Amino acid sequence: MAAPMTDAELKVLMKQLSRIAGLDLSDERVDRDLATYKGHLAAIDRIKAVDVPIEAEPFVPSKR
Amino acid sequence: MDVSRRDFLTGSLAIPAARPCRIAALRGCATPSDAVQDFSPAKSAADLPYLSMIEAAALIKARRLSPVELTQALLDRIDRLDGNVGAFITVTREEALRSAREAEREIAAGRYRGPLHGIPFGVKDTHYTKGIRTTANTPVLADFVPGFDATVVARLTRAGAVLVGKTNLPEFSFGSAGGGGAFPDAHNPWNLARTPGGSSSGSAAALAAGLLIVATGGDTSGSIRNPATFCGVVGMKPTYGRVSRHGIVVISWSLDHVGPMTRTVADNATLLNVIAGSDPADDTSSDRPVPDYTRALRRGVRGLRVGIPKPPQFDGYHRDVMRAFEESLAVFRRLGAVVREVDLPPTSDVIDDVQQIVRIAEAASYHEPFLATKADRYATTTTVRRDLESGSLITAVQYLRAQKVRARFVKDLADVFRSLDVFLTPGMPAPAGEPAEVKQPFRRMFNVCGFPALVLPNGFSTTPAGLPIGLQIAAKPFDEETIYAAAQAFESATDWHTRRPSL
Repeated sequence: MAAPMTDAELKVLMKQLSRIAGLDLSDERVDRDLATYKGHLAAIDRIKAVDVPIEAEPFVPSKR
Repeated sequence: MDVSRRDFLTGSLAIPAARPCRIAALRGCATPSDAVQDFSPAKSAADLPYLSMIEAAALIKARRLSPVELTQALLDRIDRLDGNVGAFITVTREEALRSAREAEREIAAGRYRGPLHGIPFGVKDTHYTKGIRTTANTPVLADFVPGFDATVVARLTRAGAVLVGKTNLPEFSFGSAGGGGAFPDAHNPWNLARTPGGSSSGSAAALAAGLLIVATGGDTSGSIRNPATFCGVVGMKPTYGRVSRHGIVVISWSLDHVGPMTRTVADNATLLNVIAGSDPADDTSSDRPVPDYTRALRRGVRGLRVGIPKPPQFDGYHRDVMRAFEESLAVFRRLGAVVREVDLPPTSDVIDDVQQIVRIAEAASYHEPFLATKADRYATTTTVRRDLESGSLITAVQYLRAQKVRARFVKDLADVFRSLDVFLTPGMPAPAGEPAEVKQPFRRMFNVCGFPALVLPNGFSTTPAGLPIGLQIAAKPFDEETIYAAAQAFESATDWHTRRPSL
């Protein structure tokens, strides 16, 4: 299992991802957004801890 | 030619311009309807703002009350009180009076459209209104004037309702009131130093303060139910797809719901009758026929299978909230319902995380054009831009993982609901502004699964004193009728909905 990323590593990642996403965040914006982004990553880790079978599909059953 | 007030009004409720409405004059008039017979003779023009829609509709239909009189009474009250309450971003004064006069003309000519005809309403300022600014309380949309009405707005105006204004919300519906935006925050009419909740803050505050008869709101993370609980009014988040989302500023396409907000359950059911239904402009809207939700109001709850969460799901909830909840369960038992504890699926432990990722990834996608061209226009007093920028960095694989867990949760919850008619929880873990560290607030899960959920008042706090507390009633998809049956039975057995704040 990969070691947790440091804040410095996350900031580099955020800068690079933001360029791909067309946002091109400044260092100041990355500093402001870091805590929120870490919160999202923590939520994603908790979600990933839920076991879902390979057959699972990301479509919510809709009884329209 | 304009209809004069005297021409419109029949019976003894003629209202010369200089004299206040004397509803006491109803007694002894010719043939009042049932609702009019129940109407207290002690009321005066000062009571008009707190009429229920059903009461107002009966009076208007019977031509005992003019839509213009009712609308003017609300506008006068808005002038007097909204400086402190902050429920409105835009008050459509001239448009409202014009619509009220038109309603009066039509009704006088025998063209009564139904219970919404002549009824003043407000919509959250995310609902497009043709020719009227729709700001979502953000500088990003400060100059936005839609060229068409949201479907919900169009249905209400087609029913003859009178648009009074666009109600307040936190910027782009992110969070609760007090989160800032282009305009000042709304306040809780029960305690102006407290939040009214959000994000349908202004709609809830306006109803509680007697500034509107009915309203609509939007609910992505509890944004109808949270403010309805905090302000002591009734708020329904219908089944996903029951009410069209067309023409409403988006937070998250798969989590957004639109619903009615009112002061009584019967008003809520009547309003849902009008706004629900298939919409070719919204591909996610349901083709299921819309039942008459008001028929369910007489059903009662004898034999109703009521589920409540097993402990320790309510650990951390405010003492007054749990007291009100236990008393509410006692009411249902007394009325003949069968209450039992149920286990929630294990996936419910991460459902708020699922909602967070799905919501912010979809929101970031919706906001992509704004972030590209107007990033500096987001309010500096809110966290919206920060939330969206960080949400833009979530990968597709991460989003889809959340959606897989979501799909599993929906199936698991449907299995739990198979043996239940309704599922009850407190509306919120604590009264407005009070802290609560809880495992499960039972709010976002109903956005994730799309099941319908309504809140209505079930008490007031003692510590601190005088803040509304609410009860949440959820049910299977498209079973709003059972929710209304349960809510009406509870409301009829209690009087929480009759209380008014001192303003």
